[in-house]
Amino acid sequence: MSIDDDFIDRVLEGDVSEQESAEFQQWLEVPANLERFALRAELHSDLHRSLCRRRIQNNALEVSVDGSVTYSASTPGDLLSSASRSREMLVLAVTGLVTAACILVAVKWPTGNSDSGIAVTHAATVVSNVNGLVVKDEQRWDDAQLPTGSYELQTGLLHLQFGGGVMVYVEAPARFDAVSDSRVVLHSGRLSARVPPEGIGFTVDTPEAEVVDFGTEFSVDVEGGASEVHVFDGLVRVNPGASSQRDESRSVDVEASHAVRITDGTADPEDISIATDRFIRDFEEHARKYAPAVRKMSPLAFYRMPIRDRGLVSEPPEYSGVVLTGEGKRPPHARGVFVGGSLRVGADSIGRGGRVDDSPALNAGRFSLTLFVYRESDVGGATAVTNMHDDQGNFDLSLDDNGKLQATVRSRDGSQSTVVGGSVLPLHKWRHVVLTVDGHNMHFYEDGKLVGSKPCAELATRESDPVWFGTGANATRVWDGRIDEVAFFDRALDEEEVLTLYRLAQEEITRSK
Amino acid sequence: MNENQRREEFTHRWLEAEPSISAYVFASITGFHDAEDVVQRIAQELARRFDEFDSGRPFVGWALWIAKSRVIDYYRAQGRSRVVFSDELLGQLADTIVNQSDGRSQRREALEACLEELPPRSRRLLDLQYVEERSAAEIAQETGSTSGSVRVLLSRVRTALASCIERRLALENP
Repeated sequence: MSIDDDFIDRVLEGDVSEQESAEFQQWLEVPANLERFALRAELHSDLHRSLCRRRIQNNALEVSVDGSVTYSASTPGDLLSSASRSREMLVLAVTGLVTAACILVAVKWPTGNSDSGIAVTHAATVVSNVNGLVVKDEQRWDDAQLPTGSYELQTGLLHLQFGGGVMVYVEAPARFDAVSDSRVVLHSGRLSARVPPEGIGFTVDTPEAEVVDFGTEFSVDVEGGASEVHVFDGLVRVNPGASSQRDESRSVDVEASHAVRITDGTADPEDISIATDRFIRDFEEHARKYAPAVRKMSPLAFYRMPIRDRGLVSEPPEYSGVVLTGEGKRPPHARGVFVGGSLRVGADSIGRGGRVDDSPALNAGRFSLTLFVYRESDVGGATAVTNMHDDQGNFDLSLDDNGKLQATVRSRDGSQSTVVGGSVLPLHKWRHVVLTVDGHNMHFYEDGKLVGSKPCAELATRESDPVWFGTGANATRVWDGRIDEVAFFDRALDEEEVLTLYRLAQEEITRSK
Repeated sequence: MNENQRREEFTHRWLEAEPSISAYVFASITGFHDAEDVVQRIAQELARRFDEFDSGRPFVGWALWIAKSRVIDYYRAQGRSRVVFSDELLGQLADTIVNQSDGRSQRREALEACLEELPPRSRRLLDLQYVEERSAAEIAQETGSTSGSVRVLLSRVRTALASCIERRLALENP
């Protein structure tokens, strides 16, 4: 029996005889055949998921402004007619129709209070709470369920799950009402929502507009009498005006990579630039291109700056540290260079940064430091990462008084060498920075390019000095901005490796916008 | 670990393991609808039994162990009317899926880009099969072809996509 892709597809579709099935199982006994089969099954699984998601989004896009629906899909007979209905009903109908053929996995967390006998209306579930202080009716709210009602997030970050698997990330300070499991009113603050096909129709109300989602990822910022809607994927409909004065003829559809501002009293939403760096849209750190490449280079410690309430997480975990939360209006985290988080220092806060007490030993004489930095003000004289304090330690990366990055290392003979970067670090832009020490020279790279080097003996031996991120040992020279993806190596990365990391980062940045 | 942290931990681990579990179930159960249904049941069971998970071990291994039991349950309920793999083969398949985990998310991403490059007719064929769940015979009727030709065409489209994914990954990881 000849087994090719066509035959494997028939097996996966259940279109083989019993005898063919038995012979096929014999064929699978060869490991290479089993691998080929598993990859083909993965392709079927991924195709099913991807095509279902695309269809649901396309159908949502076809819901027209006047509330009627038209389908271009040529499925005769069994689709809805284009009769006018309320938009909410239509969204439900569209979702139901498509999910009938495409069941997409949603996880329900088991709840232990189902036997209470009291019907409680839960609007959302807390997936994670990162140093968040939630207040409801002037009382601290620590329950994992959010009943319908008004809330204030005074500090920290909340990750909530609404109905249909809608993920919402709220950043303090924020005031919001959880109206139902598909509607939230944001009075002030920032939130980001990721809406899977099952959650289409999820709505965010603000004082200035209603934002209806059609299967997408978007963020809303409400401050000072204006609401901004930034759409990162898919499409949302914005109905301007206070809730009692909305005129659907003024609705606008905002597509991916676009943003609008609705100001109180302004007739039409105004187009603005999308703010890709402003919103926290995921607490997880995805390992797409950059992180796997760093891991392949065998770092001693790698700090991806995930948004956690358990400190500064390291790979491996024994070099984890603490996030110095200090005090500030916003949380000590911000959107990172990729879609996850970063460490946010300075800005409107005091006493912030990161500290690792049990850092990896740096005693190989050779060394590399890789990281991303982001500057939010033109204040100079700030520490990005260092282990130098009181004549101890052996490396330091800082911003000098002119706003240029400078790297300093201490050698085994006690001498210090410093290399200054090529240009002033621009504001509101991530820069990839690499410092290497190979035992003869130190090299300093910015955005993949060698910008300076200097003769330098082997790095001084250090067993385990504390390392600070975004602050000096005595809480001065605070970095005003963000720090992300910090890695230490006990060897000097070469020019090609540095360029590879930079190139992969650019590809991932482009995709994660 | 409190309830919030457990939920966060579970969500994180499930999102990472889901492509592997889906690939495993799609390999061992025929029919997308049934396969999705079983994946859904596995997710619910993993959430319910998360307390039993030993965090020192890989989550995907534990999830695949539970997935295997649910696949066997499905076989029992269906009788022998469809392709049924032996217990041993299901175990070997799980090992293979684990070995192929590296790069699974990159393969998914590459597929998204490759789908964009497909001619509309090929996309339409895929939609009919994967979204509207039409059989080859039904697609043949609609497109004025034969079910044999439809099968061959679909298989060629999938093979073209697999080559496209391979090519993209080779370009990204020279």
